[in-house]
Amino acid sequence: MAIEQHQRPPNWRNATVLKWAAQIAVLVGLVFLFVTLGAQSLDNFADRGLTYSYKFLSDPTGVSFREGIPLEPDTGARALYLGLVNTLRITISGIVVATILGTIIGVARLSHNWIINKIATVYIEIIRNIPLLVQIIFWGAIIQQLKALTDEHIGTYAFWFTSAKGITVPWLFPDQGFYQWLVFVIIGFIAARFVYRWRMHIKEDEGRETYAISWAVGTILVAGLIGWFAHPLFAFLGGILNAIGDGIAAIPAIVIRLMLLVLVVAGVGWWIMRFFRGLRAGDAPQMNNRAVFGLFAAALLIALAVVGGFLALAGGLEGGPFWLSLGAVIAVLVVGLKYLIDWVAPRTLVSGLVDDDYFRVIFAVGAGVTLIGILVGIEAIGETIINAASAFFHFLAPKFDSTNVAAPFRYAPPTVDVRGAGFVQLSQESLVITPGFFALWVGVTLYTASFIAEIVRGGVLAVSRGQTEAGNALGLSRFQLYRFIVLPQAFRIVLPPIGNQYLNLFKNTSLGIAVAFSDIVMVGQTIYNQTGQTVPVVSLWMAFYLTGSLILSSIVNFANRRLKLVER
Amino acid sequence: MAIGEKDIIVCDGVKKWFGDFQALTGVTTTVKEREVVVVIGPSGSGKSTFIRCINRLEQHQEGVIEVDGVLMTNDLRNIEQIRSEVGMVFQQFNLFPHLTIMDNITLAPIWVRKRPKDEAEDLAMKLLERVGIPEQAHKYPGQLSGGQQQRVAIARALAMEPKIMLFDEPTSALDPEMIKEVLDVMKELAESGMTMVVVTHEMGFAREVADRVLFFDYGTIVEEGTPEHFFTNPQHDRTKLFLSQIL
Amino acid sequence: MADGKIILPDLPAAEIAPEPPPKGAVVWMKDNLFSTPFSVVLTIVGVLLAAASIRGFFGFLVNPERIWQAVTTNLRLLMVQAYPDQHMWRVWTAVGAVVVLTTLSLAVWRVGGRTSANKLTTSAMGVGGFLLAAGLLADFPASMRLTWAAVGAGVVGVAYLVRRMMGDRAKVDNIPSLAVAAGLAIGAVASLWVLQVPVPDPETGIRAATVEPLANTTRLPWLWILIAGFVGYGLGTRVRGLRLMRPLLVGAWALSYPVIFLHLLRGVNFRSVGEYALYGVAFAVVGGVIIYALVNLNLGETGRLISGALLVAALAAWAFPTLIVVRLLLLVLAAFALAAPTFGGSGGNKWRYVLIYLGAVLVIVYLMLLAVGTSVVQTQSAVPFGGFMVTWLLAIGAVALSFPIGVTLALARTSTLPIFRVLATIYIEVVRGVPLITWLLMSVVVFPFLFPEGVEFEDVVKVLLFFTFFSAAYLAENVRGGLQAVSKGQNEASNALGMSTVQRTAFITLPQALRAVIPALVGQVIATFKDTSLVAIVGLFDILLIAKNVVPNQSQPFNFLGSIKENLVFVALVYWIFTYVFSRLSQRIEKNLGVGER
Repeated sequence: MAIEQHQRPPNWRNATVLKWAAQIAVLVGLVFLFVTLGAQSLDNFADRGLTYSYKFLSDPTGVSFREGIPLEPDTGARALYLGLVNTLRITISGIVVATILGTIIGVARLSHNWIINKIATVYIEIIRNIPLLVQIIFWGAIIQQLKALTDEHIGTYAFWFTSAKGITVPWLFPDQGFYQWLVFVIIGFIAARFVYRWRMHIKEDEGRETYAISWAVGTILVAGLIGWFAHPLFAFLGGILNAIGDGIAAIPAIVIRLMLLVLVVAGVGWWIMRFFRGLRAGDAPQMNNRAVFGLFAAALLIALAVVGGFLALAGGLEGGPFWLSLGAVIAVLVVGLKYLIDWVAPRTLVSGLVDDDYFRVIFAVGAGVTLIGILVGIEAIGETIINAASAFFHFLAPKFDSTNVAAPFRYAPPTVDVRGAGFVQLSQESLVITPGFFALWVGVTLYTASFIAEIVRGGVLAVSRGQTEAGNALGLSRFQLYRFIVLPQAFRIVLPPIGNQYLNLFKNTSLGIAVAFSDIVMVGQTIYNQTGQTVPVVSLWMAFYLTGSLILSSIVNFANRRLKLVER
Repeated sequence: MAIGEKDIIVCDGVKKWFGDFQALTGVTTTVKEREVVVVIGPSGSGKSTFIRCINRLEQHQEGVIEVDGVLMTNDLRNIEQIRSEVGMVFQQFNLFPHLTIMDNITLAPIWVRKRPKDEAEDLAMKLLERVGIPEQAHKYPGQLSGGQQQRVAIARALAMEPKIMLFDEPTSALDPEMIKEVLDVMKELAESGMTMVVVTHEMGFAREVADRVLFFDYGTIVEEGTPEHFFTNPQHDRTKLFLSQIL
Repeated sequence: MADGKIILPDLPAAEIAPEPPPKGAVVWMKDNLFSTPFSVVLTIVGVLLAAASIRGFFGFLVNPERIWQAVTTNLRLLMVQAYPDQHMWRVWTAVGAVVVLTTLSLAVWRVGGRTSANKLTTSAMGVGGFLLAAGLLADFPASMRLTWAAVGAGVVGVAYLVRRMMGDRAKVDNIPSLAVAAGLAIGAVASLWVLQVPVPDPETGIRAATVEPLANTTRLPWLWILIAGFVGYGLGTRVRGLRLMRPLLVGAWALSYPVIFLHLLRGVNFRSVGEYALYGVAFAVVGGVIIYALVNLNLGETGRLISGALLVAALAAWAFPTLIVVRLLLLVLAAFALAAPTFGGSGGNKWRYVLIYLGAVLVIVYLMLLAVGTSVVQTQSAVPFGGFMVTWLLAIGAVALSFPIGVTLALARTSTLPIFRVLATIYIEVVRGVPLITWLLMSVVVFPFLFPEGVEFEDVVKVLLFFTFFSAAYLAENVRGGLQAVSKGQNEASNALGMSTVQRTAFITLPQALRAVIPALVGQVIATFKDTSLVAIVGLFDILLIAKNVVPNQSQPFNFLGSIKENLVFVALVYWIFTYVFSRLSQRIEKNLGVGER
């Protein structure tokens, strides 16, 4: 080559170096900030004679909550679980009703009928523009000022009873055989899938209507019906679940931690392997992918050992010297990694490796080391996972106990009885909708419905006029037009924003705290008011809501992807 | 104007990958001062990638690029220097839609070259006159036709007083009746002695204006020569095939 | 027809004159209420539903059990809580300043479309029809029923007559919307003087002792504010030709928030003026020289090193005990020094840059003088903010403060730098994944623990901080949408012109991105405004908490026990008015942007 290729510019003018220096500076600054604030908060906690601990999870709470599943055993974990169940109850029932109501109002908003259109518009404009919290508190105030029950109500029959203590309506409760029956229904669903495919197959082959959907629904109904009588068949599942639970409990905690470690190391190694494969220019590397994987996994482990060893040895060093020497150790590791990359690259025929790529690999390894450090640092992590998994199976096992034919459901009519010192109250045997539940549920449902209505309206309008005209030209009726042309397309458009509304509803249930509804936030608040363990409780909240948001949004994403596939 | 002696763009073994795909497989060529080089070739042959490497819109991975004696490296100072000496005109014009024509042209001279505002505006008016649309100065790009927009884009690039102009298929997004007005401006520019590297499918322009034609395929220069040689007596089979399809 | 032309015979014009489309109430009803059998059913259901709703709603409002005096007596409490009497002028001047700024801006930017008499009369007929329906349907006492029905019928009649008399002229958009708004404002202020309500007597505890005008104490201030608003508009029409008017107004808007916030809190402490002026002058002189040198002498890398050193010094100042004012001034100096090569400009602009720096120094010294002054506004609580005032301060503060953070986050999330992208993504997703109320609870129970002893924040400040962080994450997602709408070609063009990343972002990317997301940003303002009601849960005495917990527990001098529903209806009304106006505004902006698409 005529001109020397590698004339490295000075670092302070090198675009790549500057880019990464800025990023690393910000990252280090942030880490420093968090470490400082965290340490300060530990100090402040210590001043109050406290340390962060999750012990409240197993300690008795000594509180009774007005709402939800029984608090047995009386532990913090169970209380939080109660809050979680309450949150999910509101979320799920709210989503269902808000979707139906919102769709109706959205369609009404599109109606050619003037008065229906105006009613829908007024509803939306009122509900949407008032803060949800105001609405929830308003509904709470309404129910609180209802008249008390009197002796006259005892023994009478009505479709519902209302009082300031709540509302009661007829309800079906899951009973003894419910879970076993549920197994039948699940089997029914799986069978329905096959039945549906089979009928569709016939339809495609022979071209005649085969009522595939009706057949599928029928299959599920039949399975449910059989299960109603045959459900004790599945009593043996209880034993199996117990055994699984015991088996998990027998795993030593160290195994789980090792598994996590292997997972992280493998993840980083795999990422780097893919990275190198992406850069490769030739066909016949001297070194195969697995060797790259192994080399970098080993490098990660060595880095881990070096950093871990340093931390262990330097436990006594404080402040400046500690950070300086940690920096030096990291610098040595980074240089080592650079040489490793330089050594590996030509052997895998990787070409065009630029400075940027070195930084990426080094960062992947660094992130791996940090992650493992965290996993190793939290000793309880293995035990927690084992306990949770085993508890889950042990929780399920007794649900399959009943060997007799018992109804999966129990019907409970609304009743009123006298308790304690002659107080006339709603019977706890029937379904009591507490004031908190009522206010929160009505509030979030109406509120979310108004947003869903606007989304539905927008979605239908967005389906182009041409589509409607094409449908008209084909001679479809108005109903057919909506059923086969407009709604399927509108559905695809509205799904992502409606998914967002579901997420909002889920998060908005936390406003229940204003009407004393025992959701997870309120239970958490009660716990930290008693124990002072604010940060641990907050961490549990965040874990719960982030997981919930993640699950909800992945369900919506999944549905979205499926729909897109079907459309193409 | 006579072609100068000085090498103003030097490329040696330039290679570039997009993931697994190699877009440039070793380009070696030299452009002299005041030379007009036209780059042609089938789509996907790497000709756009090549001229985008010259002002580092794409970063080449191997090989050497030197512009007016400045080596293309990660050095911020070099990148700055090269970009301020190389003007570029895009297929899609890429005018700034939220600024008037005048602001489009004066923005970079004022903020990058640190020209006083009135001086920059005087220059912009002169350039607009040169490309034939001084009356449009206070309109927005959206109010102009495609050909006018592309001429503004040329004026915008010239306002930085570049030594080299790169054209990346400047007429491909234009209606046929507007192509001529843009090509006329480019011709005038070539006659005034600007060094130009032009990627285009306008064979007439190549024949009339180019000093040299590069034929690109498979990410490298398959054949090069004067337009006369190139259009009348191509040597390589790929070139013959390409010309037979396009002419 | 051989040549393919179709020749139509000439007809006299009169014969092909178009028939007027069928009109009239009967036709309208047939089209809109009874077009199909199904529609007839819907109409019947709808009418019944509407009638029941109106009856129920007014039944609720005029029910003898309602204690509306709980609201009218406590208006002041609901609006400003316990803000002291002798300082109320601060609140009024703040409102006045905002009104004047608004009308000035309206004039300078020539905002406002035109509307037609047709549209206005339709609205009037809607209102009249509602009053009439309410009068007929609701469970009112007879005299009241008559009044409502008569007023409603009168309004409908007048509107109908006006429209008939104007004929086709009514369809022309020739009435300025601003004139209508001004008319409504005049009407609202006039009603303060005219409308009378029963007022309780604190001595006797009798609820309806005398009948007095609605707003004895507020009608004069509102009148002055109204006049000031008109004067502002007149002034605006005079000065809108001036070149610097728009940047000046933008600056005034940006400054209005901190100035108002601090003026509501404190008066200027004149004892510290000398000391602070000293710092100000020192920074103005030394900093001015540095900035001037950086802009004018092309220092290149030496310049960058100097500004880098300044930045390090500015950051270090936060680690060592230093006066806040010095820290802030250093930070500003470093920022201006760093931006000098990029934004310093050329020629006359160079002086402008130095002048802007001096202006920034002046503003900071002034704000610090306000901030460190001992409070002249004394109340029982440490911060004299409460009621609806705190709602406004939080909403506007959160939006204004979160704007730079949100834009930065959006830029980071769309940047090519992986660490910035990952950090921004984590921040945005974590903040959005967790409900606001948990963040607010954190601001109260976790946040104070993060700081060493002696560092204490007022509740309002803590909540404002968390609101800002929360709102920033949502704002970032909105802005990201706009950034993604900017084509890649724009970046390439600016790179090819040699612009730096900062210049590209400031001049090319952000202006286009922000313009694209203005409607989403207004939506964000609305959402934040509604969200401020959540501070009631963490115990800030905003309008909601006062309505829910304070007023319904008053038994002396009047018995307002259990008046919670009335108060909540009032709170809902107040929120509703503002959100409704905002959302209308955003629809208008959206339409205008669509029309003016360039």
